[in-house]
Amino acid sequence: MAGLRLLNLTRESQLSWLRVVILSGIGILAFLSRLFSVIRFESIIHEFDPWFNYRATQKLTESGFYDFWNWFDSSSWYPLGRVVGGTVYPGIMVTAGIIHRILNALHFPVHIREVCVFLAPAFSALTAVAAYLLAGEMKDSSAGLLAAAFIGIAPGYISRSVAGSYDNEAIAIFLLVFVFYLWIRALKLGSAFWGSLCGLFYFYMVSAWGGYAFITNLIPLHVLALMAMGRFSSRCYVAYSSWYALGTLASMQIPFVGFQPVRTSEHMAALGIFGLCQIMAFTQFLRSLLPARTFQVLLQAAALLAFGGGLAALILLTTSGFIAPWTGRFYSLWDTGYAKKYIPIIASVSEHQPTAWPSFMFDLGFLIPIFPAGIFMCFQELRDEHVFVILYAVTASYFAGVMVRLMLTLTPIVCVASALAVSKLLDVYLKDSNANEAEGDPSSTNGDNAATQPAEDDPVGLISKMLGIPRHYVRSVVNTRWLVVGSIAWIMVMFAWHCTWVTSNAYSSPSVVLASRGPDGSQHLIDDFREAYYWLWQNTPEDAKVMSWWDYGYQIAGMANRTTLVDNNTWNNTHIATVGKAMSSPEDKSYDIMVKHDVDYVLIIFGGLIGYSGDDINKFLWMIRIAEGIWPNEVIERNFFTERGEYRVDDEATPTMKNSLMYKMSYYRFQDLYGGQQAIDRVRGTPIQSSKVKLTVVEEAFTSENFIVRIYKVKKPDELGRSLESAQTFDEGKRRRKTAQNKSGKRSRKSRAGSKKQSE
Amino acid sequence: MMARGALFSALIALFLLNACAVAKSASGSRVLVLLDKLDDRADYSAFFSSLSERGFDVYFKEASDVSAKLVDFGERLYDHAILFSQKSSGVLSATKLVEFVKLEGNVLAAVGRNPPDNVRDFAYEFNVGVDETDTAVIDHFNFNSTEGAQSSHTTILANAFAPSAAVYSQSTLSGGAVLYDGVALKFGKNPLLLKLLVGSATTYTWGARESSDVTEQPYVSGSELILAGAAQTRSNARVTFVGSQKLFSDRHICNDTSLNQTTSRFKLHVLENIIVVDSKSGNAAFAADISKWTFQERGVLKISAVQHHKEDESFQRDSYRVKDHIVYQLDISEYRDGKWRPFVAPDVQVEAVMIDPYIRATLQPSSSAKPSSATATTYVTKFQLPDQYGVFTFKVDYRRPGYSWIFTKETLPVQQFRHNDYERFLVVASPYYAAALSTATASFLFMIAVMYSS
Repeated sequence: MAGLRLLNLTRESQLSWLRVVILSGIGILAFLSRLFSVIRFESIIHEFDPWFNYRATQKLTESGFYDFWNWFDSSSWYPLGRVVGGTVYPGIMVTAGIIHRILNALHFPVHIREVCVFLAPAFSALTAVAAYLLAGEMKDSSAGLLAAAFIGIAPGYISRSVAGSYDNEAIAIFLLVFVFYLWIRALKLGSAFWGSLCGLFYFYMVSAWGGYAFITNLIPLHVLALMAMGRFSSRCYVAYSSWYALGTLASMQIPFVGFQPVRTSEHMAALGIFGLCQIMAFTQFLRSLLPARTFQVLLQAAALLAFGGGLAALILLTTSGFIAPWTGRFYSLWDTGYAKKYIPIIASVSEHQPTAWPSFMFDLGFLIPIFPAGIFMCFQELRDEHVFVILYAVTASYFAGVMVRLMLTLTPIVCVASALAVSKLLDVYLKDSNANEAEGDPSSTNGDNAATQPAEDDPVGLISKMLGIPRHYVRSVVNTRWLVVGSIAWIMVMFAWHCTWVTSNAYSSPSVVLASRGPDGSQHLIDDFREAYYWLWQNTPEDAKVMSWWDYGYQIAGMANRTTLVDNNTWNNTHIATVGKAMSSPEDKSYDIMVKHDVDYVLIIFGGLIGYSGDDINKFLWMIRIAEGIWPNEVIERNFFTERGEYRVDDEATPTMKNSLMYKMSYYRFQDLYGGQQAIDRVRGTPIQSSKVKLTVVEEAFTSENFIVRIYKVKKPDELGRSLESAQTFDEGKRRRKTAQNKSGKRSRKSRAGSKKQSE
Repeated sequence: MMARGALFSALIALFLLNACAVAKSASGSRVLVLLDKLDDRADYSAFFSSLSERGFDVYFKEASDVSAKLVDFGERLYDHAILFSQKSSGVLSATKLVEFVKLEGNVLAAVGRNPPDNVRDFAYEFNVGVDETDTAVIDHFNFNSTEGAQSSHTTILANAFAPSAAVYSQSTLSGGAVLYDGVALKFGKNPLLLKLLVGSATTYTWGARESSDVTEQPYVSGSELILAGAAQTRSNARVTFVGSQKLFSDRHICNDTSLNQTTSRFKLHVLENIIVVDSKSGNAAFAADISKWTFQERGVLKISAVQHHKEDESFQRDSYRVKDHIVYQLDISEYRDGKWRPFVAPDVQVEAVMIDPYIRATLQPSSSAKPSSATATTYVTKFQLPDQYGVFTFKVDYRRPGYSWIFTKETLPVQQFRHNDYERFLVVASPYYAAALSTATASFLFMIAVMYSS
């Protein structure tokens, strides 16, 4: 304060400077707390999807925007290929590309990887600013600062924005919050300028993340609620119309979105509300011109006509197929069992599972109990923007409960609402701390009264009564104000502590590199993935086709630069089911599938040696289910379970299980590690089958240090036209003819008059 | 008598010399012949001398010779092998033979009534069955009557040649029947097998010595009974199995002076001596043809100069766009009589495959003169790519019996339209343009009217 006074600033500008300093502090903190993974491991792209985004960004920076726009990726989804330009949200790549270009223009020779790695932390600083603005619109700048601080460190958001997590959500959450801020701003001012700005950022949001549909439905919902509350105004009309018209037109420029805004059910609400806005505005205009009675009749007729007509048109268009019905992904939001029944590919993704309740506490800490208090306060004031907060909170809470990954959309509103509550609390207990204590603080007034007639509910009185100490002693030590402020401060410190711990322990693993701890606490890095991908890159022909389960498609493309059959862009269920069928069928059947798709190598993940539980045997049931969805007669899930319905890999395993290619590839030569003793699978915690695992159609090409990644080469058809199994038997030095004759029970010449031998 | 025989053998030698003197194999000239004893080569002198005359370097080894090696340190020591040995060779086991074949060595294996185990095992790997020891192919209707009517009819006359122009010359097909005295072969399931000479409807296999009646279904009979069969591996190595090595002997091939002249002639008996034909055996021509075929002297095809380009361009691209018009062309040559020559066939096809074939076009032999036309035929076709993006494989997969398998494929991405490949202004869309422009103008005018009216 002394320093600021030296600058000769007024109190107002002192405060705004302070805000700027605090906000930048929060931004820097938000950035820094996301760097654990870089410090622990290295500057590396994390997980799965980021690898594709990274590869696409590389393509963008190397070949330029138009080549990226028209990019046909022939090395994924072999042989179907993927039109990347038309199936991708290009926002994040373009953002990183522009930043990279600017930095290079300023002669900072930064590699594009560094830009990608640090993009998410940088944008989280911006998210903090956006949250400040949004909460500022709800209450005041102190609530804004709190909201910024909360969202800066909330684990629910950090989980998707640590350094290296180069995914759409990295910039989308900033855009989500900022679009909402602009919307509130436009609504408050009734300004077409702010509405257009909102539309512009909505376009950016659409270009960045499929979750834009949340905005597309939430803003119309807000307007509808305002209409229902009789609060429809020209401000609302201007804001909504300018946002909708510009935002929708702009969003249709993204090839992946295309005509969806006018042709799918998900976007119909926004269109309908747009129409309703026009009708409402028109009726208001009529009301101002017509006498009341005539208007009443007209209104009723018009409302009925408009509603009936609109509904009929919607039904007609949907049944005629012009408007696409709700997609399966949408249904799975209402019925959590829907995906498991009808779209196993969606259910197989762990982040699409319903949320377990402890993860609310884990991801949001003390914000989650305070959040309802913030909502309650919104109800108390209930200005237009508070209605928005309430709607956002209710819908996002529901979605976060249905799907783990949607915790991300809930986090901003939890931070804002909690900031409202905490800031209100602090307002009450911190206000005018320099002014007269007795007058400013209601509780102390209460305390004064209590001196004459002690009240049981007064904390000071309570403590003095319990401890038998005179009241004034207690009052001097236990000031209620400091009690409340202190405990809030303590909770917040603990929250920051919790957030740091969660970030450091749960959300900072690149999952490409695994870390384990030795008994002495020393860290041991497991780098099998990169080892294997490097091997693929260095030792296989450049046009080799690698078959793996879709989880690893992006990584193989990004790190090994090889063609894959399926990847994390799960756009073709049949193709994925084909791979699932190849993995779950017996060898000869799999071989036909692999030959038909020109597969050269098969890559699987096996965790049985070191206990890595995310391996392919554990994902195997999903492969079977997805394949069964397409070929119900050829792949049957029941056959992989024992009589008693158990999923086993030991001697009790069913023959179907033991003969499946996946099982064989996982356990091939696994027994050799145990030198003749019983081999134990440490993930399933059971011994594996005791007989030797034989492989005939593929041969082992590479196995990583800890057996996590195993790569098999698909054999060529036999030169001599034999089955590969026979060829292998022959190559092992067995005389097949003799064996066959012995089996068929050859009768000797002597025993037969005519001297004929059985055919082989 | 003697003079006449000498003249005849000289004529045969001359015939062989004329036909094949300059011909050499497309794959090499080193031939290893495996015999029971080195002295046995005298029995096959006509056949071996014909090989030498065709330019082969023939080496002889005994089956018991431990130094007999086909492959050394992963390198072929010979290009072709002839297995005439009737004793099993421990050195050239089936494993070694398979190794040799995998290295694209060609094998001509002929067995007698007592087939050695290594050849049996080797044949088994191709799913070719050899009948048991001491059995023989018998035909009571087509046999060599010079053995006497009361013989067991085990020297039969076979002329059911597989009608393959790649294997047989016209003269062989129209020439005399082949004298055959040996065991029966039987084909199992193997797509690479090729029948060269099969039995007639009355041919069967049974014990050679016993005169017992046929009491059960013979091992194989009729046209399923293979007298000479071949396999062509996926890398076009050729392996020929003949059930009678006597077929190659001088006794059966030509009129050796030491033999009675009548033995080189035979009489064809059809239905109990009703017709008696007196003609020359076709063994010499047959032996020459199948050895030429086996040792890659004929029926060898190769593809060269595979090209594709857009119809209005002349250079080859790495990728195409959907609906492009493509010209695909390639050269095919055939090795015949020691030279690469043009190969003309009406049924060569190219496929554009993406899991399933989207396009299958027949390549037409092109008449346009090209510098390579002396040695190859240029095939050309034009087609339009489908309206489907993806990674397509342009594939020519030409397999015809007797000819070597020719295969070429290339994977190419077929891309979607670029954003600027579409027409920017469409005449049919003019109502929309008009609507957009009029709305914009009307709005503008309306705004001016609203702003300045009140």
